[in-house]
Amino acid sequence: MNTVEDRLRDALRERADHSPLSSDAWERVLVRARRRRGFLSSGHAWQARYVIPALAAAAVAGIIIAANVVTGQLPSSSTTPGGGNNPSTASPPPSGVTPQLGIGRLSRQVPPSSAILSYEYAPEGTKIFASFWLGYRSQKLWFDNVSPGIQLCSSVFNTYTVQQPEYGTTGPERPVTRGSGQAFCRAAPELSAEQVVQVTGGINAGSNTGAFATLSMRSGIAAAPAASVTAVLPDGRTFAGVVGTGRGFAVKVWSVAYPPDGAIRLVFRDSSGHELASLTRPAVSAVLVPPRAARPGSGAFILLVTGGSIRAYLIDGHVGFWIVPAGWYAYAVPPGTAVIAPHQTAGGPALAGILVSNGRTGQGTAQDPFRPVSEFVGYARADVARVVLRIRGTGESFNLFASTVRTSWPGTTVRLWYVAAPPDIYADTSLDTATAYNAAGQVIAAVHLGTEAAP
Amino acid sequence: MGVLWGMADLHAGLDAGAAGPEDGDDPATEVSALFRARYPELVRLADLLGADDPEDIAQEAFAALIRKHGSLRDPGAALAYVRASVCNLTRNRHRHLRVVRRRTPAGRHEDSSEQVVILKEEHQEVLAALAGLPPRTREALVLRFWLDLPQREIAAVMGVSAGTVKSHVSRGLAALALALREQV
Repeated sequence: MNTVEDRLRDALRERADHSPLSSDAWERVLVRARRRRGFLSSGHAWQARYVIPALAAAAVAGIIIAANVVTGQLPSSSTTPGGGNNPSTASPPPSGVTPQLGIGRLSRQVPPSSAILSYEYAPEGTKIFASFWLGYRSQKLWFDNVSPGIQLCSSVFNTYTVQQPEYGTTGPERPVTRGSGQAFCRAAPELSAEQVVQVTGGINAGSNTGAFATLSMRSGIAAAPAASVTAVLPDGRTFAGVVGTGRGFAVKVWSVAYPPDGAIRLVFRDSSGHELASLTRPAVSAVLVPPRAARPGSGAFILLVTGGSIRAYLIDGHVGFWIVPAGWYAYAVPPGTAVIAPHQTAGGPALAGILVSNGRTGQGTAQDPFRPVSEFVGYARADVARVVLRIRGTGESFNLFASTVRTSWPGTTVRLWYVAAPPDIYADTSLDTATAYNAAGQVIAAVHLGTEAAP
Repeated sequence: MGVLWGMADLHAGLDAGAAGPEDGDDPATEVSALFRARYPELVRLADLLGADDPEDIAQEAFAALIRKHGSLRDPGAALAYVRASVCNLTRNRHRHLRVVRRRTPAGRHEDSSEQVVILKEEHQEVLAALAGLPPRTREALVLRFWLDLPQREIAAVMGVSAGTVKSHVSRGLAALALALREQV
């Protein structure tokens, strides 16, 4: 049995693997040192001319390797494919501009300056759509801490749920409709001289991960010789991913999905079948630090929250919730992010609701900071006067929570609702429901938490 | 295998007009070796201590080391110095944020969505419990169980006695055990 010490060690080790590291850190250190104490102006200005560039280059060379936590490892000897099972499915590498699936909103914020690499593949019969492009952020971007310069944007989703994932935020976004995939932009990564491959994004499988409930997905960049990527499971099963490139890309971009398995190995081969690199357990080391979602500057309604904050915005006719829980994690919706409703409010659903957090949000009282709290937020049509949540209790019992509904933006009929359930109430987004009533007490709509009713 | 999408402009923003090289110790050069070897560790330390911008903390610590380097009695103490800086800067940052939040309730540091998704649930529980501990206790636990520092070195980094470290570790573990048990 694990002791607290063991659990703490493991957690710290894994968490540390996810810390962000930038490639220009040393340069920033030098600039700081210069600013504070006149480091360069007190007889050392020559260092800026001679030492710093060399150091910066050296530091970058060293740090990039460290920063890229997942780094391809050159095999000790070349191997050829064929020893294992054949890939279950594969699609040809993308060529040029292919149908641009599901990149709508994000591509308007970061217009593509490169080809859009659109991939389609189907591990275990579930179609995955992945698109990648390069572009510069525009004024429309709703991110507040995107690195300057060119961005690598990606959108990954499948047909399990919806065809049109909603964007506007970063990270594995969760639209109101259950599950869709992820869409985000990040500073375009680079490969160091020794690197063959790098992971830039991914989703782990889990009961709350919606579209990828039965899959893990990783994507990233690879050196030019890379021609294929295959996920190899311990039981010998293999799942082929896709590798390709296009105009504007100096590297290959790859994506692969596979059943969740901690001992997964991703194998990259060149066109002649020689193994170039492999990544073991990329789930543990995959690092991506997407920027936090910015809050649009106006039009916010602050919904009462017990710890952090939830703000509602009307964005291009869609309701969006910007969520910053007090605790640093939540289950149903990742914290510090936002969700944008997939449907426009005009002609939209009667009721939509999301689970903001479920479980230990760390926002309890000072005496007991770990008491679990569940929070729910959503929007509804004008004729909705009340929203009641029905959450399972122990055995056959149910807990009912009524939410008041408030009006929102002038000129709209959108109503907003919010409920904070008492501690120790856990919700299951697939079973527990929200029901909307009109002023006469009649049921207008009922949805599972985490879903949006069809218009 | 290739530099992609343009190498960052490494030299931007640096003063260029100056005299040529001259003899003498260059603090930046000396610190750079430590930086290359330890920067990731220091960023991760700040991150584990709950810094909202761990890189900012680590970079400031190294900048402070460059400024301080000439006056360090023991150059071998540079690592301890920069570790202590990270702890102090993170603590100060938390203090500052507490004041700011009192005035304007706003977002606080959150792990990125990706981080949250990737971390195992059981680890999230442990880390959430750790985040709820007093800053000094959290420091002691991170230094002890992540960096595996002996008590003496933890005491040097934290600027307290070895006995105090022992007390922090003991209380911290007890608090974690209690919190985790309650979460079952």
